[in-house]
Amino acid sequence: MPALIMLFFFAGTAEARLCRGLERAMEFLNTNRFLQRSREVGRELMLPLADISQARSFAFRFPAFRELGFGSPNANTWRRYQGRLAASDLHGHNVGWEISNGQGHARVRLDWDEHKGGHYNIEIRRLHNGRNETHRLAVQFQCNNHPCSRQDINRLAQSMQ
Amino acid sequence: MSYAASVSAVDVDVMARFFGLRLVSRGAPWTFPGVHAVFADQSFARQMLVIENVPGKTPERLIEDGNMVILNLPTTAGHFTSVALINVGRPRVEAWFEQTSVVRQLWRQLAPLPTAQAQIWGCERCRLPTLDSLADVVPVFAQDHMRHLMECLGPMLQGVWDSTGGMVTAAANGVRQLVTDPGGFWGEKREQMSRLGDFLAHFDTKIREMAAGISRLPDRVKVALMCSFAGSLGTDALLSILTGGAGLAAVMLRLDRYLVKIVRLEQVIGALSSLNRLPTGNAPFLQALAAGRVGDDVIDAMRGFQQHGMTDLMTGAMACPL
Repeated sequence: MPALIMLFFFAGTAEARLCRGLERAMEFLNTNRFLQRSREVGRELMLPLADISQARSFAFRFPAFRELGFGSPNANTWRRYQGRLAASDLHGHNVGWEISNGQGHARVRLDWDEHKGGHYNIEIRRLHNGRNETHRLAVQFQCNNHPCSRQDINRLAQSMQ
Repeated sequence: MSYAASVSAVDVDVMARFFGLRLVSRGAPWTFPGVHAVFADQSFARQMLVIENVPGKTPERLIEDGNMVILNLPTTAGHFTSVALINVGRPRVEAWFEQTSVVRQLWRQLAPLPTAQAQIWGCERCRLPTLDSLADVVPVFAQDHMRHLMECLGPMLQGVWDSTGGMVTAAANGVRQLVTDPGGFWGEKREQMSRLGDFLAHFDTKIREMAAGISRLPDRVKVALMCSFAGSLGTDALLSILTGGAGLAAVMLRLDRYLVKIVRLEQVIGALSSLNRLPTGNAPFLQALAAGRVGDDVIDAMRGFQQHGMTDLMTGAMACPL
């Protein structure tokens, strides 16, 4: 019986987490609201989503990319991004896309760390009112309803090569 | 062949098929609206209601009352089956008698008809559409979604009926009335079926009047929209569809509010439908929508995700209000 109660509890919290994430995702569809929130918080924003399909869908169709002049990530104007951290399993692997143009720099990449688990990092650097500003968003996701392991993300990265 | 045996050979299912009607609900023994079986056509315009093996002396065997023809057919000694045919028309009933050889003898037992009246019926029978051509004569006949609506609404109404002991008592009392005043008994049932038909027609009309994207949705989606609405209604509200009154007005108002939300979700529902991601039948999300448990924020989120092509997030948002 206690196990059943725990199951319901975790199922409930997982759903609540998902709904909070979707609520925030909705908020970040509005680029001005995303930028404003990023400036208020002054650090990386978190967006917890249910699975990689949702996370990929959001990360690669993130409206701010298009609305800030970078276009959506695509093979024509964006270039491949390879993992750079030497200590990472993803070092040297194609894990994302980036672009630099007159508007600044934008990047989306797959990543894993112990704190955030599996996630897509979104980074936008641009000049705003004469100042450089950077906006970061981590689009977190789970693997089969559990936190993704490092191996899970390595497998996903392999499929991107 | 005995007279009683001939009549008991009348199978109401076969009879219904003759009139182009299919089973909507059969109770064990009662179903809404306090009868044993309900048959209807696709548009729910023509109906056949049946009470079988009523104990008592068979009342007048053919009663015509406006758009309803009542047949009281003796079965075994001291029992009869009463059939109310609504919007079927007496000429068609006469045609059934003539075609069904085993009951032809019974037909002859009925009071002879005035010659002039018989001639009129004869002419009308000449013009009667065949079942195959009904789709041409009545366009709505070709649309099957009313029937599909009843496939989900019927069991719900039957469940409500089964759960209301008082209504069963009323049904038993009603059978006593059937012996003494069949016209009055069936008149009340006709009213209830008429309200049910009006309710379905109201939904159908509203759907047609709605945004083009909604009215063009496949029938299975429209059925899911309606079935989910019906599934969100409580016992009293469902019963009010049959019994009318203030309860029915409240249901209609709730239906209108639900449809307003459906229109706001037009693009979302269209996208989910085209992706085959919209649940069919009694969908929990649509039920929650009908019950007013889906906030505007969720509707806005779904619309936003849809506009940005984020299908996975759109379907994820459907799980949130549940």
